[in-house]
Amino acid sequence: MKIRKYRELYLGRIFLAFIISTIVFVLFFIFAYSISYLNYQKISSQSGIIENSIVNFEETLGDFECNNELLIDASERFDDAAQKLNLLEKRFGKQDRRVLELKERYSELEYRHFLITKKFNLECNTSYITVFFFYSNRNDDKEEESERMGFILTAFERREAEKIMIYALDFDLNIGLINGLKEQYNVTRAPFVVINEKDIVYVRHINELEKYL
Amino acid sequence: MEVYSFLVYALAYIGLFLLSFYLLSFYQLRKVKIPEEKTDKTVSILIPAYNEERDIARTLKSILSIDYPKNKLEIIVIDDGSKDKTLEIARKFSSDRVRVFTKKNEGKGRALNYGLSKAKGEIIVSMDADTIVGKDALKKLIARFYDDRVMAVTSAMGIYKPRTFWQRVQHIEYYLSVFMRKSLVGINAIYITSGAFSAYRKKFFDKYGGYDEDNITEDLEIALRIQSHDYVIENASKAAFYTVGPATFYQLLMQRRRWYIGLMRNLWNYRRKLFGFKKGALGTIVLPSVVVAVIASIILVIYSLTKISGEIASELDSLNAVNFQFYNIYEMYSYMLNQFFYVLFSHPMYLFAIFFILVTACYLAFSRREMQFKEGLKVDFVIFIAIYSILFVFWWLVSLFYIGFNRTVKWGKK
Repeated sequence: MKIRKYRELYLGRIFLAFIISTIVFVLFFIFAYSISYLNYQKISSQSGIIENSIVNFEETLGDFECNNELLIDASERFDDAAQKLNLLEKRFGKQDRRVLELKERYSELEYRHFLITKKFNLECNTSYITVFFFYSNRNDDKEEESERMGFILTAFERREAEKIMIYALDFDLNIGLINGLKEQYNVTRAPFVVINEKDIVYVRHINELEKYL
Repeated sequence: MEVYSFLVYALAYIGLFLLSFYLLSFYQLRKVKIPEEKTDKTVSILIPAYNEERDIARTLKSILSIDYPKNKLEIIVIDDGSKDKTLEIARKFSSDRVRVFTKKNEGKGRALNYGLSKAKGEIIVSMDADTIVGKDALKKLIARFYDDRVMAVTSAMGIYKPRTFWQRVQHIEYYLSVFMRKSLVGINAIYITSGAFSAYRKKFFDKYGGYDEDNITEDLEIALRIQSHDYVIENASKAAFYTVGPATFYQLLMQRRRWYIGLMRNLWNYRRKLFGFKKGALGTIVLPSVVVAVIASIILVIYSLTKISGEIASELDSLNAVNFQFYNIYEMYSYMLNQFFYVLFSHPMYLFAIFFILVTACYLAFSRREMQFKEGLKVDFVIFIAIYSILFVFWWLVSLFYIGFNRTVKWGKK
């Protein structure tokens, strides 16, 4: 009978099912990686925008008008980009060439922003609190500690958005800029924060930051 | 790749493979024409009942209003030594078509065998005392005995008027099984014929003996026995019936404990006869995938819960470190929400999760259409998706505990 034969001839369907499931499985990965790649491009272009705004800002510093709108705007863009970069790092891996390039570029931009902020404090009678946040995600313990400290700093920054500038730097990123800053501020392990270039603090609670306001 | 990710992807791949295989079987079988309804066989419906005074009258009314020639249908109620008014109520329905017997309480298997000894029909239908049957269900069931090799036919089961939280979860679960049975029939791999409403050829019982009286899942055992003798179990997905699901968490746990222990024991007893290439898709794909799915689900759910509880603890610790105040919740977590959507579509693991939830929704839509169910299921579906995997693993762990410590489990209600 037709139906009986149909039931017995199932090997062809197994083979077909194997091919279909393999194709679909691979398509899922391709789709997910395509989205990740689009995200990567988005961050890359965002870094270009930030770089342009910083360059413009540096150019206008010649006729210094103490207008802090650009400074705060760039700082907000940094926060957003840092979050996306963190996700990208989780997606592509810590040693991914694209991630490392972006991180290096961001670190340099952050440092340039820091120098501008410093100049503002000197010449415009402002008192922005500058915070270098050296984080590490080399192993689970360090990552957990860093995430916790990052969470506290984010909460503090959100609460005091007008007064604080945070610059997150990967302690393990082996580039001249970060190595130089580590040496300059004598930071030997992560996570740690350097507040106003002098106080090296391991932050456990938001209350510990209140005194710097 | 960490072990957890590997397990998730392995399970996702197995899920995709099974889905493709079942769908191929399902759609190719649709080409085979089988008569929708038939009334050419004599039928004996066996209704074992133990303390069913609440439901027995409704069940008998439902079966008496069924659309099937009166001269070809007999109903046999076997009161299994009930302590309530079950016998008294059943006797009110006694007639030429409804015969009521009573015996001392010895369990469902013995009650069914007692009914078998009294039955005269070519087809035996086992039915629970709280089952409500659709008017045309029996005709649809009988139509599936199109071939001498078809020894049993299963139907489409739903929950009767689900009210409690736990009944709503079962409501969705039962509907999903409608699609699964329909898919499995294409490879003759149905391995459970629900005792609540399934039909069997009497000659199978005459040749291979009646129900296993000491088995706590006698309906599973009979299905495995049919498969082990190379016969066919068919499915009539449009033959709808409804059963009263356990209303409380405890009742549901007791039911699942019995089912899962029964499944483990029966699969072990039939391991040589049913696993392997000689048994076709049932032995090479379906039964092994049941075992793999259970083991992988237990590992994944336990691991995920441990991970999530660790993250919640760490999150609470972080919130404490920033003097968290409730009115800040939107502000503090808006960025987490952003991250969630950012990660959602860029991670295969989440994409697989979304895909399988959609597939489950499609299964449900199919079952609704087959059973012509009109009520909305959206809330029940969300509840099901949120908690079923945890419940499933919990029931299995309890069952494994009972098996591991050799605890006795008896047939109780459901």
